[in-house]
Amino acid sequence: MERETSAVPAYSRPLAGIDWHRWAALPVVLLIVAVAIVYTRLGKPSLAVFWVFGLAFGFVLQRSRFCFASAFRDLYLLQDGRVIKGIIIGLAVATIGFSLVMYKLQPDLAAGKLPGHANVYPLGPHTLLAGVLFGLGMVLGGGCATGTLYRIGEGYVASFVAFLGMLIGMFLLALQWGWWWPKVISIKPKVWLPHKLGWSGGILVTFIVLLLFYLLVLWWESRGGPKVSVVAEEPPLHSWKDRVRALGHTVFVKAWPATLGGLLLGTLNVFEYIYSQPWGVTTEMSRWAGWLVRLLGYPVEVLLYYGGKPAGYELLKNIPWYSGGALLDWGIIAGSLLAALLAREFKLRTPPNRARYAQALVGGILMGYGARLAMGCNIGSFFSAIPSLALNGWVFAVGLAIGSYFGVLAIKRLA
Amino acid sequence: MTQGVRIDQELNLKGEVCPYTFVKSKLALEEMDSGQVLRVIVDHLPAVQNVPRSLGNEGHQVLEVAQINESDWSITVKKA
Repeated sequence: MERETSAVPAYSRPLAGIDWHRWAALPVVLLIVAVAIVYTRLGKPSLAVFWVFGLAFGFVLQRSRFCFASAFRDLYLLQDGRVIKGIIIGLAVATIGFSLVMYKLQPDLAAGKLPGHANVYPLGPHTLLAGVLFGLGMVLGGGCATGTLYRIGEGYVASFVAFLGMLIGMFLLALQWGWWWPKVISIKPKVWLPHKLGWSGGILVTFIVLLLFYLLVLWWESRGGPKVSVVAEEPPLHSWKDRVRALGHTVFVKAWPATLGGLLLGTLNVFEYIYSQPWGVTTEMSRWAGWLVRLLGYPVEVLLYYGGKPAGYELLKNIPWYSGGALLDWGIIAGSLLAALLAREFKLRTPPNRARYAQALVGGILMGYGARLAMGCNIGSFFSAIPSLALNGWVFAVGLAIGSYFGVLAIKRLA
Repeated sequence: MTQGVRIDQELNLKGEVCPYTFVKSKLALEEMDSGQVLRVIVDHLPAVQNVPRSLGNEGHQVLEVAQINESDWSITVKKA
């Protein structure tokens, strides 16, 4: 072989076997439809809508392997920016859509008000700290908040442990919210770019920084040396049936490019804002944490986080199976499960190394604490915050970059 | 394709997921001599694509990626 760079050979054809994955997809589809029908019949069609949003998010996340932890981690570990470029594209798409929605909600900047539901949060040192904790936690735990949910759908047992860790971290933060909120968070300003720079200025600056971010990723990738392109061998297409089968393979089996994932997730996020509010994941999960602790007998309503008005979380009005957020989060898991079954990727996967569970638990705790300290995770504080033209989104992103860098240092030792 | 190629070391990474599939393969290659051949067994589909690409980017020569049974894949790589 006298090639300059080693090319990756084509994969050999999958072996024929009993296709239990595809059969298992059938009851999952029936369950998905049943849930939608039940909520509609119960007079809560909006919950069925959130369920559909969640399914769509979960399906796209799994198909494009769109994980924010991998995005940052692979940048450091492999000089590979494919997923982070997908994220930037998703942010750009959502910035256009969010700007239109926010302009419709709050065209008059002189009023000094924020558009409803935009993810503009108090900006302070806690925002950066939360980003660092979350970034470290997501790399240690093997997935961001959404990454953990879609990997549960793929059958990762370690991700389920990370999920439990997140609930613990969220409850720890809730215990300390009575200090954080009055002493640190509530006294800090909510910095919304259109208030500082006007509509066009705020949107333009967001796009310029996204472009610079993209160029920085390209430069960073170039440091890694020449890249090997994966040349997959495609069988020749003859009949119409061949072509239909190839289409099915592209959609349901082959991994989607991260750029397509970003484009679709950004678009779905705009639709969700049009329907009700930007995509968020962990506010709901923190309610589950409180709800579980309450079942164990601890009166969580005495905590400011759960009982107090200022935080506005109003836990106890939203039990886990009767809120939009819950249907959205369960939908992500169900959508990912369906996608993984159709792609024959589902597998109950237990790590060979027991220490991986401890790592997932610690990572989850850090993520849970960080997510609620920033009042949002990789989605609420980042993927929905930057398009909200909120400065807190950018500060959280810097924290993610710092935290995940330390996460990569840690996992190199733990491998 | 790998018939006749001597496998110097085999690494069973079943159960491991990304990025550990790559990190462990890389660590194993670091212990080996140039020209020696490593065979890695994985059962994580994303790793079937990511590990050969990442090791290729590190300059190693990927000789073969093949499915060996229902769930497992073997990746054969020659150290640069």
